[in-house]
Formats: sequence, structure tokens, C-alpha cells
Amino acid sequence: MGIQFQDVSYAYKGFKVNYDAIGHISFDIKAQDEFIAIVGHTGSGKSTLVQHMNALLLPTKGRVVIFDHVLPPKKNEKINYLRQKVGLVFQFPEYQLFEETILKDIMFGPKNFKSSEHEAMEKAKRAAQKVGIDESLYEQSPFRISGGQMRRVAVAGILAMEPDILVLDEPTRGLDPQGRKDLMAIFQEIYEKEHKTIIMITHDMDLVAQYAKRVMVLDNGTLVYDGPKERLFEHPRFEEFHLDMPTPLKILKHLEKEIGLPYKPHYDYPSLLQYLKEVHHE
Amino acid sequence: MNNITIGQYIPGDSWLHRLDPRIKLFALVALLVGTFIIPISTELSAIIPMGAIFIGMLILTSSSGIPLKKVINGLRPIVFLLTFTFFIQLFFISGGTLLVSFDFHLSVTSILAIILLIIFYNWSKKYVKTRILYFLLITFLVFFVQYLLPYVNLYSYQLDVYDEGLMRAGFIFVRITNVIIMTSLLTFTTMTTDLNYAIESLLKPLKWIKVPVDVIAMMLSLTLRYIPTLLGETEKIMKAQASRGVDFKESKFKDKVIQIISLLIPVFVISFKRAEDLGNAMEVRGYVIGAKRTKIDEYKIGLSDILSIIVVLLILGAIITTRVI
Amino acid sequence: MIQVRNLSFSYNQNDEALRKVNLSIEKGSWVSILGHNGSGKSTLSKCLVGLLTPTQGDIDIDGLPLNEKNLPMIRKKIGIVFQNPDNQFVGVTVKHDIAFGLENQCVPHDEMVDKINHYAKLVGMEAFLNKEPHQLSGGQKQRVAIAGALAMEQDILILDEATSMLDPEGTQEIVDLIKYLNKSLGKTIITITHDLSFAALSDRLIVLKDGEVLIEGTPKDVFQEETKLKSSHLELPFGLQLYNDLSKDSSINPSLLEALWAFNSKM
Repeated sequence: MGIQFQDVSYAYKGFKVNYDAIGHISFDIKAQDEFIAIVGHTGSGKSTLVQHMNALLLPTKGRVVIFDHVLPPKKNEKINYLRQKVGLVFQFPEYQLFEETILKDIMFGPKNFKSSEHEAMEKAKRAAQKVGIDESLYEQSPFRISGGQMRRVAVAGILAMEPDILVLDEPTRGLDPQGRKDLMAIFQEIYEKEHKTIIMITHDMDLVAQYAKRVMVLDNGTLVYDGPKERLFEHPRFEEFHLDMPTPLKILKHLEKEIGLPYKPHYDYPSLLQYLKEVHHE
Repeated sequence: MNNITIGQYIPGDSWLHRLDPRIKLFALVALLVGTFIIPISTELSAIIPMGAIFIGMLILTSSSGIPLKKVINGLRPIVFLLTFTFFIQLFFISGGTLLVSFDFHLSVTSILAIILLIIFYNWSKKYVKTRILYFLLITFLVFFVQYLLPYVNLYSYQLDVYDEGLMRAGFIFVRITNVIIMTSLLTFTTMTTDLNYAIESLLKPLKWIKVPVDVIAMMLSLTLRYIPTLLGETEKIMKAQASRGVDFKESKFKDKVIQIISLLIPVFVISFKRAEDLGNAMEVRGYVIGAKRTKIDEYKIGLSDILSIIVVLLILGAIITTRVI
Repeated sequence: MIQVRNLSFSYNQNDEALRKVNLSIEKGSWVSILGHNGSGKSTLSKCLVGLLTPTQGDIDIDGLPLNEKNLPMIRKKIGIVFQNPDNQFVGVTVKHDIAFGLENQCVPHDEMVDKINHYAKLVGMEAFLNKEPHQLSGGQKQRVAIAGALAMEQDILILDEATSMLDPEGTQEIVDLIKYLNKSLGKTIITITHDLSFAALSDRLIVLKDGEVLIEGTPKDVFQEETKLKSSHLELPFGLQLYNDLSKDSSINPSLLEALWAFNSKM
């Protein structure tokens, strides 16, 4: 179960030469209880990698196994159903909205996967509730709401399919700080309450620090780190990963340098505040 | 990042590449006119100019560094039409002397053979590189088996080939080929932005009859600029909707309608938003529709450009005079 | 340099986007306008460049009143870079895009070539002059937009959420460029943003809420007004929030607070 990559490479057909977007990538992801951040510089292959997870792309070398289904598939094998099991939310997902009403749009996914009209409506309502879209908006046009609301409707559209694994490509890009917080809270709740595995591409190291348990680092198409976030930030070769440090750690390192405060990693605001209060009393 | 460039431009440094795009476009138009003015006839006065143009095109192709194979491939889309026209002319024009007569038989055996040939062709064509020749070969064989296999005959017919038919078939074949080669050479040796500029320039005279050439030119240029962007965005939307279960391969017809809507509407929405933003941006940068503007593009006419124009005009003139006389 | 007096704007009868806004922006300063979505920031920037006509009030740009007659002159003084890098890139190549504004101003050909080369170099895009927009990253496209505005020799530049759609790399490119434009070239810069760490770099902050000016002042002053900022859905950057929360606790060693403040001053 879950997702396995076995020595996967994907090559784009270039003008005269093929070039590998990702090369020789192997890892295992469990179907439940994982919160993984995928990070790496722009162009390192993150989007390409993630599009293999719901069979949008098929490996040119190696194998991808999604819920025991081996890819690349044999000719005429049906793989569309995998996109219901692994829900992929693209960057700026609000661009996918098209239906007459918000509820209809959220129902689109389930209906494509053979839910009846009634079932799809139930699923859509549940998903709308999860993302905080109020009943009063159900019959509104998806184009007459704010950008932040549109994004939540788009996410609901994927949640309504009730996937087992959620893959998110930079879900908070372009959102203001409040919007970011609200959206991440939704994913955090899904992870904690429903135990679904969440895989998230992001550039925001603070989000990685706060939410992720495991981090995968891509560099020029290869996987250079795959492990707990704590070990990533302590890694001796951290410089080579071309990543930023999360702000709480930056502050702690700065304080260690300036006033000799003992360095102890903390990854989110409340715990950092608490630590500073405890350690530095007059 | 994308590596798509629109158009068929093949980079190179030949004199044809370096020729002013306006001259090239003008030359194309003039030569196209010339090619179609030459009447279909078997007189030398028609054959010589058409043949000369053909040879001229071959010389141009070799001097431009564009591989001949690429130019020939431009014929691929119309190879069926070409072959059909060729055979119509060959077998159904009667005039001049009879060259040869063929007895063709539609028999059970020949029909079976034709069916086998068609099946074989469809299966094997992906393994063949020189598709056009292969197609011609199969067509030839289709006739050949009708000639060869009269066993269990159903219907016989006779096709006559006259020398005039042969000449006309050849003439039309060469004419169409000329048109394709000329147009291909233009698109292979001229960058899309240069072509755009050439079209703008050649439309300029229309200003005299109050056609808003500048506005049309701006629209053309904006369209060119946005094609790759739109293609990229369409691809992203397709993938997003595919992630919601849209699958063009595994679905019924009635589902396809809403699937297409799920692609079209987002593209429209993006485009309308873009139009609004773009209008604002252009306005703030001082763009006023119809106002006078200078241009960053500057193409200088050189000696080879002038010579080319003269040559083309001479050719056109010669063709017109032979027609009129 | 810019004077805004009693500016009001309504999109329709019920929707007052701006209400009697008064503000002034000094020549050569860098001002950030902050606010939640719907606070009127974008409406304000569109009024400043003459895209929208105020329902009430007036605007002066460098002494010139903003009206239809003066619009061509005003367009030479103030430029704007919008949020979506793709929706303002007009030219078929970088060169053509930078040229666009110059062509509209009927600048002679040779002068255009010089300006394009000069400003492309200034923003670091001289190697990309013949590239088409789909071959560029978001940050690169925004740099080209800035070059286009600079080439028009506009002294005031508005950046309306110009980094919202960019990744951290692209954002940093733009931040560095803005610093250079303001500090080294003396351009008046107005950034519209909801990112307070970005706004913290500017000389002055103006916070809008529901179409009115809520707070105004230096970053230091404005960041003290925590409750007001929170009511605007604006979040203090990590380090500043820490500073504020720890300052309230009298038992905290001042050296800690000092070190924290020092951390916040560098970006």
C-alpha cells in the first residue's frame, strides 16, 4: 500500500537531446500518518516528481507503485482510478474552477469517479465544511468570491473525492498570512483526525518546520535527503542543499551567537516563545 | 521552463536567412501569383517557366542549408490529394497520342489483394521512415494487382494514358510541389517575429483605405506573444482536471462534453482576466490606440535584398508577358 | 511629491472602496501600503496612475493635478508594476517589452536601443534581450517590467503586490532591485503588499482598513500597534512578534530583546 518509487527517472524529450527532470529516485511512503514536505530549488524536479504520484506522468525508467498498482502500466490498463486514491492539488488551484455553482464544482471530482448525484452532493458538502465554506455560498458562482475562498473551494474539490493520500503543490503560494494559516490548519486537521498521509511541496521553510515530520530534498533532479526534519536542519552538508533555514532556528542561532543563549531547536512560534521565557530570566 | 518556440524556424546563417523578411514575403507572394498564372498546358511556354521555378526552388533549398528531406516532408499532409489528382489527370485526359492502355480487373483475387495491401500498409507504416515514397509504392501496387490478377473476375475496365494526360499530371504535380517548397522555405528561414514584422509592413498600404493596420499589427503581435503561454496554461488545466478524474481515453461520449467545458471555461476566465490586466498595463505605459508610435524593429534593406526583388520582378514579368502574348 | 486629498472611490452604489483618504508621499522615500484584501490598496494604486477616476477628492503628482488633460504628462512621472508577471508582458521578446513604453512615447530608434541596453543591464537581464517571455521565470519577468518602467524615466514607481506570485528566489531578486532603485538611484517607491517583513524595509508604512487610513508611521511605530494590525489580518513577522511578546514580560533580560531587535533589522 502507499506509494513506492523504485529507481525512477523521467526524461523530457528535448529538441535534440532528452534531459532527465528527475533521476534514480527511490523511496517509500506509507498510506497513513505521514506528513512529508518536498523541498528544493526552483527547477529541481519537485513538480515532475509529484505528478508521478497520481499517474499524471509515467516514469521513463524504473517503477512507481501506487496502492499496489505498478506503473508504467501495460497497454490498455485502466489507471484513472488512481487519481481518486491520490488527490493532487495543483499550484493556484483556483484556476480549475468552472462550474455554475460552488457546490456543483466541488461535486465534479466525485461524479467523475462514478459517485451518484446524491452521493456526490453529500461528499461535496462534507468537503465544503472541512474547508470552511458556508452553506450560504453553495449556490453562488465560484467566480464571485474572493481569491482565498476560491482556493478553498478548489481544495474542497479534491477533498470531496475522498482520496487516501493528499499531494499539495505549494498550496499557500500567493496567499496572505491569514489565508496561509487557515489553509494549513485544514491540512493539519486532516492529518491528525483522519490520519491521511499529506505530501506537500513548498518553498516556505517555516511551514516545513511547523508542520512536516519528514522532509525530502531534491537537488537538480536527485533526492539528496530523505528523513526527519530535525536531522535535516542539523545536517553537516546542509549548505549544499541550497535551502533556507526556518526562522525560529535562525533566531536561535543568532541568539546563540550574540548572547550565548544555549541552542535548542524549536520549530514553531509557541514553543520558541516558551523556551525563551524559561531560559532567559533576569 | 519551456523549450517550445512557435513556428518552424530552423536557425541558420545562409543568405536566405539573412534576407529582409519583407522582401522574402513579397517574393513569396509574387512567385505564388506567377506559379498560378502559368496555364496548364503542354506547350513549352508553360513547361519551361514551371520547370525553371522548380529547379530554382531546389537550388534555393540547397543554398539555405535546410535539409531537402524537411522540405519534402511539407508535402506529407497533401500527399493523398496529390496522388489522387495525378491519377485523375493521368487516366482521364484524352488528347494527343495514346501511349499505353491498361486492362484492370476488379476480381475477387485482386480485391482480396487490395484489402491485404491496405491492412499491411496501415500496420507497417510506422516502421517506415520515407512515408511519402511508401505511400506512392502502395498506391502503385494497388493498381498493379488489378492488372496482374484477373482470376475470378467481376468487372474489367480499361484506362488509357495519353501523352497529354501524362504531361498535365506531371505539370500539376510540379506546381503544387513548387508552392509547398516556396512556403516552407519562407517559414523555415524566417523567425516568427520577423514574419510578423513583414506582414505588418506589407499591410501598410491598406492604411490609405483607412484600414487600422497598426491595431491589427498589435493584435497579431500580442497573439504571437501569448500562444506559448496559453498552451502552457491549457496543459496545466488539463492536468488539474485530470487529477479530478477527467480522462479523455476512458470515458463515454456524453461525459466528453462536460470535460471539454471544464477545460474551456478556465481558459476563457484566465484570458478575460488577462485582457483586463493587459489593457491596464498598456494604458499606463502610454499606449493609445491609433496614436503615432516609433518602432524598435528596424530592418535595413541591403544589396542582396534589392537584387532579389529585381530578379523576382523580372521572373514575374516574364511569366505575365508569355501569358499575354 | 504625491499629495492625496479626501480621496474617495466607489465601484458602484454600495461598494465604497476608498473613503476620504488623505496622505502624502515625499520625493525619494520608500512607502509601503498595507492592508487586508478589500482594504482598498489596489484601488488606491489604480487611482494614483490614473486608471480609475476618483468619485471625490484629488491627487497631485509632483505639483501636477491628476486629471484627463494632464494624463500624458502624469504617465511620464509615475509607473506601476502589477502582480501577475504574465499579464503585463506585452512584447514578443524582452527587448520588445522594454521598448513598448518608449515606442508609445515616440522615442527615436537609436535612443531606444541605448536605453534598452542600459536598463536591461541595470536589472540584470542584458543576457536575455532576445528571450521570449515563456522562457523566463516570474522574477525575471518582473525585472523586465521594472526595466520598462525605468526606461520611461519615471521617478515614481508603484509595485502592486509585485512579489505575491513569486517564489522566495524571485522575491529576493525584486527586493534587492527595489533597495537599489531607492537608495542608489533615489527613485520614489510605493510598495503595496501584505508581507510585513518586506514592508519593514521601507521608510514609512501606511495601513489601510476598509478604505480608510488606519495607522501611519515608521515601521517601528506601526509594529507597536499590534491590536490594530491584527484587526487588519496582518501578521507581524516572526521575530517582531517575538520581540513584542517578550517585551511585555518585565522579567526578560534586555540583552535578549536587543539581540532580537538586531535580528529583525536585517533582511
